[in-house]
Amino acid sequence: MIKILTKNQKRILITFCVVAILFTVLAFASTPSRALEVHFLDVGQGDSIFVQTPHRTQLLIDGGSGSQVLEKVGSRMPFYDRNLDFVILTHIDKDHAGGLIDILDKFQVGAVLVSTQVVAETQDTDLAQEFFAKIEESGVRLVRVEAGDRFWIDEDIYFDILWPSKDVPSGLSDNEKSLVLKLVYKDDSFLLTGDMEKFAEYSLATNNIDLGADVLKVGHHGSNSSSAKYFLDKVQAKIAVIQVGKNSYGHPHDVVLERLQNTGMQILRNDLNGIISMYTYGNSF
Amino acid sequence: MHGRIHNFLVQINWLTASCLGFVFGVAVASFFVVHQIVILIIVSVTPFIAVVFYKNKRIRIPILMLLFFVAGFLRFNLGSDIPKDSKQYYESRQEVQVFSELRNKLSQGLDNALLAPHSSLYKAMVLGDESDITYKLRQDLSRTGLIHIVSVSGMHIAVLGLILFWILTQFISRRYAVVISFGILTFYILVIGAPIPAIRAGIMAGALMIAQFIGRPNSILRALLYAATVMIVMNPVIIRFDIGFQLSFLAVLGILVFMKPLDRIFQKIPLLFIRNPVTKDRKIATYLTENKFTAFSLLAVTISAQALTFPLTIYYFNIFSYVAPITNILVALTLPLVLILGFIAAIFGALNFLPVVFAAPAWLLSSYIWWVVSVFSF
Repeated sequence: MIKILTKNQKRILITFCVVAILFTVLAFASTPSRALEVHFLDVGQGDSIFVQTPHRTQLLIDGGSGSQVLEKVGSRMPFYDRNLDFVILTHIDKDHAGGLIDILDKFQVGAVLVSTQVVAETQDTDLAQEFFAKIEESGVRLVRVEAGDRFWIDEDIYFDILWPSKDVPSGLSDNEKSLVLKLVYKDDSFLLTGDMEKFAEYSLATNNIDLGADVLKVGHHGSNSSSAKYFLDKVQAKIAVIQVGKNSYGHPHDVVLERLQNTGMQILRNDLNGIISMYTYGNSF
Repeated sequence: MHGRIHNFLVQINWLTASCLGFVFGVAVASFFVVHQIVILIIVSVTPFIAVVFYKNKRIRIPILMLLFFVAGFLRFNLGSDIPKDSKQYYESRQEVQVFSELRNKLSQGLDNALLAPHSSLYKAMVLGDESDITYKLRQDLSRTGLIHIVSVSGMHIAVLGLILFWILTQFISRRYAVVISFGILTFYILVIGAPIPAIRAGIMAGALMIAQFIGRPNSILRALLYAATVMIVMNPVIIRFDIGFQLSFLAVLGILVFMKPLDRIFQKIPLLFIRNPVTKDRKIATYLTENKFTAFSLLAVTISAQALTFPLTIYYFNIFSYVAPITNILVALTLPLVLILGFIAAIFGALNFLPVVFAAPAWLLSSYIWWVVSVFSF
């Protein structure tokens, strides 16, 4: 075979092969999984959840505290992708909003969703000002949402905002007023709770809202101020995900871990398991 | 005695001798504290010896060495502001900022084309900007013995020079290609802020080029010595306080001294496994032994480069990497491609012309490198 081809032809053949291999690998690397992907990113102490639907609608819920969220999100997206459809901020806190500023810097964001309870004027912290200034500077649409809103993001996939409602007491802490949402794909559902604590849990549990979910993101990084028993009984999840990293607050608390186990949930933790990725086809749990 | 060093010592000439003397002088002055009276005695006695024995041809070279030894000694001691330790040295050092605008432009281009771990890799490897390499990445890289690839080192300059030379010889004659590629290299070293290992490689390349032009036999060992001398004359404190300088020179010295014999040993390894070299297998054996530059040579390069530097890395960083020979073979082979693709990504990113398309191969390659790092940094 070597004799048949001239040197020039061989060169062309090799180039062709290299290009073909390159494109195959690139195509393989960017093929969608045809599933609803929910990635609980390990961004240290802080929350960050990246959701990608079968038709490539992309959501980012919170962004951890620093720029490491960029790396983690980038590794879960096709490499050419610089768009995010929704960025959802549960509440303004360093370990939830910090990384979103970097995200707004590097990505084309469709809309930023914040709760109606977050008011730019009353939040006089540096972080809040920086965040809202960044939104204004990049010209991203800011959408206010509240309990009862439903967003259809793909065929059969929607998320509901469960909390905070319009009439929450004004004296509540920021954590209590964090966004709670439920992502539903046919029979599978995810309950994402931000940093909500006992008051919000009690209100939700008593207000006759369907809290049942397959996967629960445990509130406030597994702190003992959240995940009360009556709330966990209502949720009845199969898997509990705790987004926690190295911290000085003692998260997650042993009592909470015990409570979760007693309710029959399997516990996954970002500090032990690294990045936690779930792929569902609507009936996977 | 080993051939290369033997040749070096036998063919020693006045330039080499004076360089050697100067370097030793500065080294002694910087590592030992010598009393001023001793300095005074040496300074006053040496010219006397030199004048008296100059007629004697046999010891003319040693006397030249002694003279320059004293010169180096004085250069260090009379030079102003000697830093207390490495930390103070690094704080006082200023980066060369000649074409920093171009560098910033390219850096933004890389940011435009790629995302965090990939863009930071190319920024470090192509533009010498290590600010984006996070602490964790840095730790993983040093654990795998690959930390040297994220700073623009002599290896980068050599590879880049060869690529440029190869491209230019397709169009013009070798003579002009050498000059032009050297010019481009100088420009590149200035753009990335003239890090010490890059300057070292640049001077060595220049010395070899001049040797080629004036028809002298070129010796890499000698080029290394000239490069060291020029840099020490400019700034004598680097010999003690600049870790990059020490590692860079020891690595090259290690390669020059140990690589040939190591390679010769490694080439014999395949013969041990092939029992009967007369049959069909003979083809494999001959291929493995007679092919000049094989995977074994790469192994020999990485091991010989580590041979002299590992005491220093243990002393400074408390790190000894067992997997370094393997990871270096896996990654160093891709270095030419990394540089080419990195430049393509940076330029098209800066021009904002389909940045993502032109960065795709670069992304693939950096994914591979990070994959190697993550696999071996257990």
